[in-house]
Amino acid sequence: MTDARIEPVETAAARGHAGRVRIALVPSRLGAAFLGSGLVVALAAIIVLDRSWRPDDLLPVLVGCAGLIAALLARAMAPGFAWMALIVGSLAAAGVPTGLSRAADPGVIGVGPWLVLAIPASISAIVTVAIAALYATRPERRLTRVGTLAAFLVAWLVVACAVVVVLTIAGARADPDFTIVDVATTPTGLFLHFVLLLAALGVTADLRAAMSRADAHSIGAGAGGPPIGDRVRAVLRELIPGQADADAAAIEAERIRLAGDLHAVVLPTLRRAIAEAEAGLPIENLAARLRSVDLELERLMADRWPVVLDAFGLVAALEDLAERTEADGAVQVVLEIEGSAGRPRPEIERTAWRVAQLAVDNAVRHAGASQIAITVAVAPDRLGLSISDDGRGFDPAGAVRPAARGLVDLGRRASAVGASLQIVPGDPSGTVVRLEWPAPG
Amino acid sequence: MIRLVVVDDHPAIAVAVAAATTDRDDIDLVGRATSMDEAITLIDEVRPDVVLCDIWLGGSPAGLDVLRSTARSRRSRVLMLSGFEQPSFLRGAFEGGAAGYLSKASDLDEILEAVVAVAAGATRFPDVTLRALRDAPRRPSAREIEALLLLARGSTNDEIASGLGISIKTVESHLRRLFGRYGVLSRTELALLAVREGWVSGDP
Repeated sequence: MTDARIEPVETAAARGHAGRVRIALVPSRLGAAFLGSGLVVALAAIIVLDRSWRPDDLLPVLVGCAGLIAALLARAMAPGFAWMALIVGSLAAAGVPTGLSRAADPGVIGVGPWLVLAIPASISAIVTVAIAALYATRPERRLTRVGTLAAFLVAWLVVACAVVVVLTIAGARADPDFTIVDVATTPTGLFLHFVLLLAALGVTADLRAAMSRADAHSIGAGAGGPPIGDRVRAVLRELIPGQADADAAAIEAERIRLAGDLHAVVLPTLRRAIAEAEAGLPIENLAARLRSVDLELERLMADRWPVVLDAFGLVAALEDLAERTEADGAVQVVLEIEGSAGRPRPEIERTAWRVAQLAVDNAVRHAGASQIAITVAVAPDRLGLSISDDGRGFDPAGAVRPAARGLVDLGRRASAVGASLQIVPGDPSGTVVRLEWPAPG
Repeated sequence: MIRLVVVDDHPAIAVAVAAATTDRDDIDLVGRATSMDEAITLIDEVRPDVVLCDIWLGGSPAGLDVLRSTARSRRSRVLMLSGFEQPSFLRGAFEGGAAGYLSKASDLDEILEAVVAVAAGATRFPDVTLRALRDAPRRPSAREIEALLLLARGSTNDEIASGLGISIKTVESHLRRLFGRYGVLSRTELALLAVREGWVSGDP
């Protein structure tokens, strides 16, 4: 058996790299001994208590062990959900002994075995819930040491075993028909319980870690934090295997892009300014250089931190975008506001903003448009945005070119927030990009 | 003696103002707040003549809320301070009832001069935003000129909307963009500019 070593969430989050918390599963002598003792107890109980045991009776234990090992392996690849798979697997394993008992003797499904299973299960459930609740609510009491975790498990196993022994003796005294067969499945039940306990701890640890990552990711949250719905969504997102890594990769790519832009446009101008200043060129030259650096920096920031969007909402941000686009060149941007009755969730606003930004950028840069029309209708519970241009148009067959990939990515992002993104040819020419939230149908 | 409160989540401005006001006998720094709630309580308590308030507090434009809450009571004049040049911020400050809007790039002397000016009842808005300064003056689009024509004749937004067959929100948006682009803050200023630049004729 392996142990769950649960790292302190704060340190792990502080370590950066998207605050990924590693719950390392390391083999240890203590863990191996624990698994061994559990198996011995289970096998001994079956062999000693049930003299008519058959090899079949070992099946549930073996199935359970296989399930546990498979779940632990799966967890290494898909953190977050494997614990839940573990619980399901354990429940399936627990179904096997019941099925076998019924096959062997339909009469055993009486009060006896269920009682024997139910009582340790209840104790186990209470202990598990208590530990999990403690863990979830009091960070400073988290089980960070393997020894403590093992001690909890051993203590529980001892209690559960004692209960089974007492019930067996009491059952046999009260009712001569109460045979030892009735408790033959109990060791599997015991096994099931500690797997469940472990799984519950794992689930709690994963949830805590996901919550802490989600918190670390939600930037700029005001006092009181984001609404509960957004929080739950963020946590679920963190739980999806690979999602956090994909997010981290996206952040990394963005960081590289930013560094590249700084390198390509800001640094050279600054260096030219320095060189010119050192060469004693007139101050006007320096001012002109600095002004262009300022402009470039502002442009880079506007693309990454839509401050007007955050502060004033989508309509103001689109006005800002329209003004900046017009100021850049010959493109005219007509903005039609069909409704503006409040602000939707930030992620919706941000998605809409990104769509508008990218569509306008595509129209200007790749389609050679001379006029862009943006139509927007926005309310807290719905949003419609359409950007049409009179440019060269979009070839759906050529959708693999890099410029189009951005829109494909945006389509994915749109559906992730429950919106739909449509890219259709314009009439008579050009492209129409349409975002609708909630997605129709 | 002008009683001044500084609201900023970064200490730089407050420290500089504090240092400068010890030598001056016309401004007295009576308090400093670093958050919206703190600011509202402080302003309510000390009732300063002038509040120098950063627009961006703790990652949101909470300075505008301080402005609205203070401007409602009409006891203090509020001078907004901002690192942002986007027209939306300037407009937000103007509509919230600010007595002025200063760039964080301003000299300390300029800031203190503005404090004295607004305490005396003046306003201190930049004639044009820096962005508008940087850009070549641009002729409005045909649609915008149609709207300006109606505006210059004294039409309301409603009348402009029905006159042009567009939504009232679009009219508001046209005007906001024009305000931002040309660095004006009121309809009158915009109408005067349109006539002066010859975009619309002055005759009805």
